[in-house]
Amino acid sequence: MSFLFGGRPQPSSAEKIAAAETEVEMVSDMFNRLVQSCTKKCIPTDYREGDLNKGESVCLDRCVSKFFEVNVKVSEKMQGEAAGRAGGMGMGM
Amino acid sequence: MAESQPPNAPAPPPAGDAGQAAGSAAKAAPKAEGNPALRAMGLPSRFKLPSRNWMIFLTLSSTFAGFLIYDRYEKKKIQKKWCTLVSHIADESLPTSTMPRKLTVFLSAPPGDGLRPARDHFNEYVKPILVAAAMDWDVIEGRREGEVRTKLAEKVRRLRQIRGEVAENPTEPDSELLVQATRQTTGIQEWDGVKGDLVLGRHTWKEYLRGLQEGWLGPLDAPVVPTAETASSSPTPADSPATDDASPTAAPTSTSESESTTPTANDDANKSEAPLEPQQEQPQQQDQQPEDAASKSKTKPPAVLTPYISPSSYASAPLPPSFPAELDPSGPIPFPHILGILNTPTRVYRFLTRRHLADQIGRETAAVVFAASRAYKEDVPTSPSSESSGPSSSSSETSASSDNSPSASSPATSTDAYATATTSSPYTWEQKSLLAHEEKEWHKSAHKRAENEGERPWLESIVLDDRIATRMRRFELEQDQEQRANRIAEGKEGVLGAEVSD
Amino acid sequence: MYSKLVQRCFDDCVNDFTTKSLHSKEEGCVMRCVDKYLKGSERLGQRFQEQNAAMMQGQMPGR
Repeated sequence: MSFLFGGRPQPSSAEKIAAAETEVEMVSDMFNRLVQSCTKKCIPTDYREGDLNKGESVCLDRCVSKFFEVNVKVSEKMQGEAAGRAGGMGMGM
Repeated sequence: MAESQPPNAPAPPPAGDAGQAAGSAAKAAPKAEGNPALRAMGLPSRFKLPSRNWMIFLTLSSTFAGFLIYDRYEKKKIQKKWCTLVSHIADESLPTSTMPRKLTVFLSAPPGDGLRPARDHFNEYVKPILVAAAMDWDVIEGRREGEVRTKLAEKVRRLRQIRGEVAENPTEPDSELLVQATRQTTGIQEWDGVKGDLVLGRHTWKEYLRGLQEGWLGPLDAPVVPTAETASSSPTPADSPATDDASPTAAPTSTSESESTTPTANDDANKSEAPLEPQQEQPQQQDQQPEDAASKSKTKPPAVLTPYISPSSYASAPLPPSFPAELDPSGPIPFPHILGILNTPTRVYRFLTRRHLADQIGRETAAVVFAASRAYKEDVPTSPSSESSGPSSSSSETSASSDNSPSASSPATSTDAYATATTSSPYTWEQKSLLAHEEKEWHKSAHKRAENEGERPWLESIVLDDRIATRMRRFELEQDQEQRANRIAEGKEGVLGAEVSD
Repeated sequence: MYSKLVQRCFDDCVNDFTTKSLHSKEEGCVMRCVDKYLKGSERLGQRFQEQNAAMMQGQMPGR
């Protein structure tokens, strides 16, 4: 997300606001997906009781950290690929 | 007619060549008809037994396969039993703003091998039970000798700094601290009960003891390079009150001072052999320190740091003010590991008897999960004295068993038993002899000492400071849980609190 | 968020369409489902906040 600020010299305040908005949107989108995936994977659907038990809690905690790790790894790979492609195109030209 | 031919068959062969040919032809004929025993009973005798060689092969392979299958089947049953014993804990509810109980697991590569066997051992024997009980855990891994000690000592020093002691070079905050800070601000509670340490193997156990003592008794800052400045003006943490004992410990370079402290510090029985070895290490440590100081200037700290305090100076080191009344209980887990082609029979035997190991480790892990602990004993078979340690108190999670006194093995003696034990009688701490049988199996490369080496926690005997040893506790399974496990194994009981399915 | 909750609890709890109104069993299930979902979201939100803060801190210095 912070790579948005990477190349530009002096973003104007409007651009900054827009960038911050998109960032907030991305974060909330990520949160929603996280909730959806982790609930599906960790909480069984028989709803025997209304409280979370320890197994489910531990599962949710670990689900969040794995989700973040996946996020980081995917973004790293995408950045690497984009850089590689840009470098390849530059070389080809 | 068929019956008359076999008696005739042995007669012709001695006759001659033609006779032999005729005889063998005659012999061949009845064999083609099948097993005479089956024929006698009137059963179809079309089937033959395989040849002798095949029979040998099939017998051997099927016995081996039989042993293997039986062992794995029993092992699965045993692990299921231990998992069923603890799985009711996973169904207990947890408030949303509380973190689950987090254990610390210490894994170290066994001598002569890599980290993977240790990880596999943990995954195969310990992890299923931790998962069944919904425990959370943190792993401290060590690839080489001394890494676990370094990491544990760093962790303890960091804990001391969090609790308020001031150091000259405070450790930089990392992401873990950040997460904890966020938790504190949002009001999330950490688990307030007993946590616990799981230590796999004798080598890790030795490093664990060393790291624990180094962290609590050592200084918060690294000892200074001796050539850079004078020994006595080493930076000591601001916590230690007026005693000057901190400076000799902070600078193990002053060998003369530590030599003078060791005769006075000879309370512990087995210290007589221990000071000799660390003092041999100290000149080597001095050589190592310039190297270490240089390497610390790199961005990544070295995996194995020289210890901030040497074992001979344990007794003279002051206790830090943030020292807790009781340290986290520990659970040593056996980790049998043997290498070498000549040991193949032993390894095959162990391969076929893994169920016993699974039972043992399952028991230890269940004890860790139930958080039932007792104090370590001070007497170990050398003297048949009754100097066992104080009352074993359990801090188990299940409130029902909080009134029971656990561990039928340790006799419940009076509280001042350990107070009288600090005499010159030849007693040893239980921690020193735990898992000691594993040392015989270590690969011989571990016993080789290279030139100019730092200290070798694996090769040196355990030095235990009394103050730390009395505060350590050990996880041990209570009697009623043990009986419950036996009943589960027989099938008379299931998961605690589960609905009975019709 | 609310609509997702409704959808999830409906999907998981209500499977019998032989009656016009909710069974008591289904009602209990829905109540517990709401409870659990909210608590789960709360816990996930806490972990998310911590991890996000850690990740942002890690990214900001430009590492």
